[in-house]
Amino acid sequence: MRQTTIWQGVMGNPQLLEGALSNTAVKLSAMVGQSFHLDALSVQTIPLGQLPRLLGAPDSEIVGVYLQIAGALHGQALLIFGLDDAQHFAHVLLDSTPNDHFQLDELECSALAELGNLMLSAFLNTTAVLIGAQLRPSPPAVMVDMVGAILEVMATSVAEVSDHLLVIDTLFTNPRQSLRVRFWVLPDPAELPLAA
Amino acid sequence: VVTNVRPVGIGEIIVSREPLDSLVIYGLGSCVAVCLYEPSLRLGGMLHALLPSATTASASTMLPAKYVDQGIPLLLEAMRREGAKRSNVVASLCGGAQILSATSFRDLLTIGARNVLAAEESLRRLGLPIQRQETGGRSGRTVMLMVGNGELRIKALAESTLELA
Repeated sequence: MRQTTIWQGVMGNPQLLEGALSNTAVKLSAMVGQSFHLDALSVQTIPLGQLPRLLGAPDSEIVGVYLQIAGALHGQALLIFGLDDAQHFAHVLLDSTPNDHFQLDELECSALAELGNLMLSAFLNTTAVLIGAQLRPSPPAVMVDMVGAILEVMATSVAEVSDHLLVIDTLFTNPRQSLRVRFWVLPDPAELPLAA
Repeated sequence: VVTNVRPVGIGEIIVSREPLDSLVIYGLGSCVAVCLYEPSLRLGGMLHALLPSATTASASTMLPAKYVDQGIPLLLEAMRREGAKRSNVVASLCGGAQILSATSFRDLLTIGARNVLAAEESLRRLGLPIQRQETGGRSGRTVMLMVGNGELRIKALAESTLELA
């Protein structure tokens, strides 16, 4: 009989996922100083070929904060911002004034990277307590590029062992400010019994 | 001219001889786009490959064209089934950018360059000359092959369209 993996246990427990992501919303709200809600949570299995079109036009420009998960579980995470939202988040975090043109400087990239680190850490900390194992995030990396190019980074890590990506897809929104950030967690398919 | 745009997904091959078709990959990053064209037939094909070659861990796949070294022979075979003669086929190679720059993701940093090397090697082995090449760099591209005349259009992030006739 096939043994259940830790990731399967996490994915098959909606209360655990919702608890971990609610904690992520709390930490996000505290860091930004505005209230964010867990607006949508879904678990999707996406064929590789459909990935570039998943977030709308694959040649549109976005900001992604990329991290990897290590410890008892392995995987990847990505924070996804529209350009305006990325800039707004950076200015709120740095208490600076927005300018007319979109251009993230080093300090603004660092602020968004720290946001990514905080959000994934919040998710992993809650998950680690509930599964009784150690989890840790990698240092974050900020990418400003076309949707397709950023999503290829995720696909590259998965495609060695699978033709599909399993994505825990969450949207955090702040209705008052119309701010939104998408948060993806991708379990390592080698730790899940996904068919090729 | 209004064209019939046909997006090529990751691990996909499309071959066409419809003059109004344009084969396109939007937001190409570390992946490579390999385009083959047979001018006498006005026959074009495009491959969107993600990884240089298969490993033992990935022996089972329904998507062999996600690998450069398997996808290029499959693309050439698909062109030959449509009547292309190998000696008439010319190749173009795009993509292979380095999208991530953080040193903590060492394997991912070099994937674009490894894809380009694998494509160059595979095309050389098959005797297909590379007529046009736009590879490397640090940002994504959109690549479009106009089947009617073999024109290749490349648009990099925040740049105007570069036409390689």
